[in-house]
Amino acid sequence: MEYVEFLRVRRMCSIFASCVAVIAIFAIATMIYSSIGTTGTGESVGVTIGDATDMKHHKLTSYLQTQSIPLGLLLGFAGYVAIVVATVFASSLNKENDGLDYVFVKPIRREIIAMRYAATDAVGILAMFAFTIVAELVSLAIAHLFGRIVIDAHAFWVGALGLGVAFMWYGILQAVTATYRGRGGTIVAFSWGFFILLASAGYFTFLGPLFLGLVHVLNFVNPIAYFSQLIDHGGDYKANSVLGLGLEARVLVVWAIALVGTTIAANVWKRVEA
Amino acid sequence: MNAISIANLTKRYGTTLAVDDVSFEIAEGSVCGLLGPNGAGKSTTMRCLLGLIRRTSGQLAIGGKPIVAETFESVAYVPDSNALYCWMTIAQHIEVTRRSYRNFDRLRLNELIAMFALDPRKKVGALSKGQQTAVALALAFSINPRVLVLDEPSSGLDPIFQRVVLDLIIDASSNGATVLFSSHQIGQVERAADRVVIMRSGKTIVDGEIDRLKSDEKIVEAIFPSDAFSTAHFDADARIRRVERTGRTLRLFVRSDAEAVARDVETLAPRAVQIVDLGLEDIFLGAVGADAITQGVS
Amino acid sequence: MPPIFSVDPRSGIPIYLQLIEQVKRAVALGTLDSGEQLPTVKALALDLTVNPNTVARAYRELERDRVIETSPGRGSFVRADGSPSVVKRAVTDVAASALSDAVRECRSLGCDAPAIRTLLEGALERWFPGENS
Repeated sequence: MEYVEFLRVRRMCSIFASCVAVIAIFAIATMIYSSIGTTGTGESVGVTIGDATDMKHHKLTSYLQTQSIPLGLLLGFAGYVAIVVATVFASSLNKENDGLDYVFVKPIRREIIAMRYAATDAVGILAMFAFTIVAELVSLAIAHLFGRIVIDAHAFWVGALGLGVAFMWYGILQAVTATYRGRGGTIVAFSWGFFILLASAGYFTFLGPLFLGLVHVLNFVNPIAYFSQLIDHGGDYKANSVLGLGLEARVLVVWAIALVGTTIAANVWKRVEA
Repeated sequence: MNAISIANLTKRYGTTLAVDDVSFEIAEGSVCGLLGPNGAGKSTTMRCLLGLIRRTSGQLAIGGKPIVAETFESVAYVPDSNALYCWMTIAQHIEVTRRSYRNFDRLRLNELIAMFALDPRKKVGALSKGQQTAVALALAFSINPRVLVLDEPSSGLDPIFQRVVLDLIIDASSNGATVLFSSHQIGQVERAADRVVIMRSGKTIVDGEIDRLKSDEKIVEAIFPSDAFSTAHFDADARIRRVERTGRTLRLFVRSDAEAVARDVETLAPRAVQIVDLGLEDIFLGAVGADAITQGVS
Repeated sequence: MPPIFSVDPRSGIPIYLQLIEQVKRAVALGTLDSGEQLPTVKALALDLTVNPNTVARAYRELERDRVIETSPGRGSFVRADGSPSVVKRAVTDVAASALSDAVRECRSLGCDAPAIRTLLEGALERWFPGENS
């Protein structure tokens, strides 16, 4: 753990935790309100079908009352939170580039300092991932829906993928921003736009096969490409992937890229001139 | 043994030579003042020494060994501009130092914090430039370093705290620590240092013990009956740094052997000759040259 | 308490020479008694705000000149053995350097040796009336 980064991570985590808590409270309120609004029989639900709002209630309520809640969905959402957190922490080495006169005269090898930063960030990402899962479970318990949770076949792989995508994005951003002398936050913000565009570029068929081929290749380093089309399509991961990779393969690749990216970052950062 | 040794250090940025073949050594326990006009390469030399920037060529050693991470266990550096975290409190910086250095000395630190009248609860960003320097100094001295590299350690400090800095350097030196510090205030170097290195345009132009320089470096001043006297043969004289003529007055900035030079001048039949003792400021200005004065050396 | 010396770091005269002169003067005048302890190198360096190696050098030279003696662990003292000769030596050294400075000054004004000798005799007559032969 690096103390300076620990202070940063602690501060950001408390902000993120507050956000997750607010979302959780909102979700609990919605779930409870929905169940109160439909205390009647199924027939009474049909009566109110004319109203748009009640229609929504109807759908949500019937969903909650009839459908199971797959654990994969909960882990997937926690993965999204982890991704947001990871991209915020991902410029931690870049943040030091203004004060290297202070960092580089410590009696610690620079790559070890870099790895300590990454380890501290990792703890923060994991903490927020875990906190989100706990918040989900607690929310469902309060709304008396805990029993609906089912452990679907791919749940843990989806969780591992979500977390892996977060670390992959982190690793890529660390490697790109470590030697950058400007504000790394700009690159972080840009990466969101770039990766979202890249993930959807596969649909722009009018751009021709050459461009699509390029997009396909570039998407292998696009975290969003690995994580998209999981929730929507549920079942067949391989068929729905822009990458054509199965779930397990994707998990393997994202974690590998995460490690490679972070290692590259540590090795280029140690050569930055203060 | 030499605590710091710099041999043939060169740092090139593109086509400009920031440091040009600089060599000097500082004996253990010695205090070396680094002087020079702005842009002379003082900071660059220090930062190359510490490995903060990569040298183009040259050999560097601290404590007789090449600089590695462990070297910094007993080396303290205070940069010329604030490198601390504005968003962190002084207490949090102390915690960083405590976690990073085995030699961290809590009692010494408390003493230093009190000496500089700092409030540990304050954020560094809320401090004045002088106070930020004070924090950096307190942290640097709190590890009881064997080697101190201080880049303008008293910039922004008021005269009272400037004196505190000198006392800290003197105290460290009397405990055997080696100090390399740069300053624009020649008077500070004159007091705290026993050695001086003067740089100009990336080169060392004066390097020596201050007391020895004061014994050697003199001005031989002669007044002649008319302004028709020849000084051509002094231009190539190795003992003479610079020849200055104004009307009937001749001033020779002498590196050594002032008395012999004075005797040589006497053969030119002047009205009077005198040898003028030089303070470090005169030696500095004499070496850096009159052109540097007009460029604004403070 | 040992006397507090004062040096002018800005002067062109090396600080260690100023210190040597000051100690010798103090011994010659008796402000420093034989056997009296001098401040430690560190204390004097901090007191005068000058480099401790410079102070140490002055002490070394004073020891070589047999004005003071240093015993490890105890500190530096004005020599007590045969103290009259120590004082005499100190007086001679300080006086000689003062006279040398004066001669140097006269010479720089263009006086030659016979002229300076005449001036010196005049000065002696002024300060020691009737004693000068």
